[in-house]
Amino acid sequence: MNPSILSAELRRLFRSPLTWFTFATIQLVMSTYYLLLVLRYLEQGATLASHGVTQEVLVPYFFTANLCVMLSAPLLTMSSIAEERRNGMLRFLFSMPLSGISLVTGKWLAVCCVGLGMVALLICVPATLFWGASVDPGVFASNALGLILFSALQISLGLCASALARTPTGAAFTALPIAACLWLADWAARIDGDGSLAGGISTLTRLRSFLHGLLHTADIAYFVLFTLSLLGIAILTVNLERDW
Amino acid sequence: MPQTSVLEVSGLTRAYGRKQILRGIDMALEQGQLLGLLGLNGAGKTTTLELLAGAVAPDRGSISVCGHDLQRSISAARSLIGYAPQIPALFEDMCAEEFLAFRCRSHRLGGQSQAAVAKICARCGLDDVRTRPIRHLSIGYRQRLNIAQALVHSPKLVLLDEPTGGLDPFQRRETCSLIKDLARSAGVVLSTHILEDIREVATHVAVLHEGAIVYQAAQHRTENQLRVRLAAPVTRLTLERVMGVRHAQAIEHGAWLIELDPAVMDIPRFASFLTSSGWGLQELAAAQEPLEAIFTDLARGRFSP
Repeated sequence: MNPSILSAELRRLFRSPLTWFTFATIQLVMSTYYLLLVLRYLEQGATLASHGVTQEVLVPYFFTANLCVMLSAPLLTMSSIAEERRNGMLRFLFSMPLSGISLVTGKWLAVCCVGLGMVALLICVPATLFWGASVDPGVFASNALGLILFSALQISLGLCASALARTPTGAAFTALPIAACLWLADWAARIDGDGSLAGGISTLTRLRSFLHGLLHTADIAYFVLFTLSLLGIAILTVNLERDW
Repeated sequence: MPQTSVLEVSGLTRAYGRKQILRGIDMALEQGQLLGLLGLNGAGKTTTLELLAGAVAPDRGSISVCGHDLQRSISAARSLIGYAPQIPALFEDMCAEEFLAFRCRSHRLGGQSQAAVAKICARCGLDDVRTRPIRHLSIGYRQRLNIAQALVHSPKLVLLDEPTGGLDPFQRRETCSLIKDLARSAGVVLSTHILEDIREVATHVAVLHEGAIVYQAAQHRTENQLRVRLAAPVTRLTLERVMGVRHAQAIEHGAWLIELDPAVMDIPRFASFLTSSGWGLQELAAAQEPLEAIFTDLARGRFSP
């Protein structure tokens, strides 16, 4: 892979006010939410050393963190390809000795670096529970893994939408409803039962096992394959546009 | 010095939707040649350059850069091309130096990057603005950076799409001199609709009209060319036997394009020779440059190839 796209995209992301705004907003929202969860838990008369803290604080925190990532990923990815198409940069990039794969994966890795930075900070907040509280490290680790896999999937979805859409706004408004539908398909799965198609494709259904501290190979494979498939669609779209 | 073929193009066609933009373009370029691609707006100049740069694929036809087929060996061929698009495509949030370093990395220059950036900044007059963000650069500096990014990896084929657009006369002169300098080590295709630029720098000219090349030739100076109309039926050989006539070409019935050897014959002496020759001199005028004539006809919509 040619590192030029990765470094250029990283530079663009870190110089964009939107990235820092997204970072700051998510940290503020999630830190406040975490504080409220801890205070509510303590108000119930429990101590941090008792066993309920994992279910009462950790699980709801990670559930909401996933939701926040779903809402913010399109903001980070929307400009990646669509903006460059709009300002003529994409056609210029086509004239460089870069393949469609290195172009898309370079951009994906750059957004993943930023996304992982955000996720790392999100994981650091509940990690403070390890000082004094009785937290199940297995549940913590599975939730952290779930959040990382879910973030990678959301970034792929956003990048794919950016490759398909004509404008960055169009990309965001394509990615967000799809992400929301995949999340809400869990409701349909609950009505139809666990073996339904909706349950198979729902990101939330797949996340539930991670939230409860369970690692299913099928769920990990779902996130990895879905992420790769969306990247594949983005590469295909770029290559079709390049039409060589 | 043996000439090296830099670019070979054959039967290039391209349509956007139902609109046929290019209709079978053929061209060849050797190292040291500078081909000026002239045409009115919408003639297909930008599309031709985009195709040659590999930014867009042709519907039919082939492009070979230094023997590498652009379609088959994408990476090898593209690394030999430097392309400066008409509207500079620059990362606005980078500074000039960072953008040039990005171009070096995309061409995998590795350790030579720093030296290449310093060299091209000095060559293109960018030293003063190296660390300035691109979004704060003037149009002139953006255009220079656009040219610099095309040259930073020392390409064998340089494609410049209207590089003097938006420049003041001083910058234009500097850019033309830079382009002329370029043609020593590479083949250059320069697209423009400014005849002066072509006259100043091009060794060869191609005129593009409605997606087809309607005129293609090496550029000759016309100061020693005359347009002559004679009543007598003389042949080309007869005219070329006259002392000081380098070349004679019939252009229409009775009319000739005569090229004189200025070392042997000047125009007043040739005029007095013709009046005394008995060939019935009807007209003698400075030859109009063919390029200008074609371009004027194109602009007036009365061109027929």
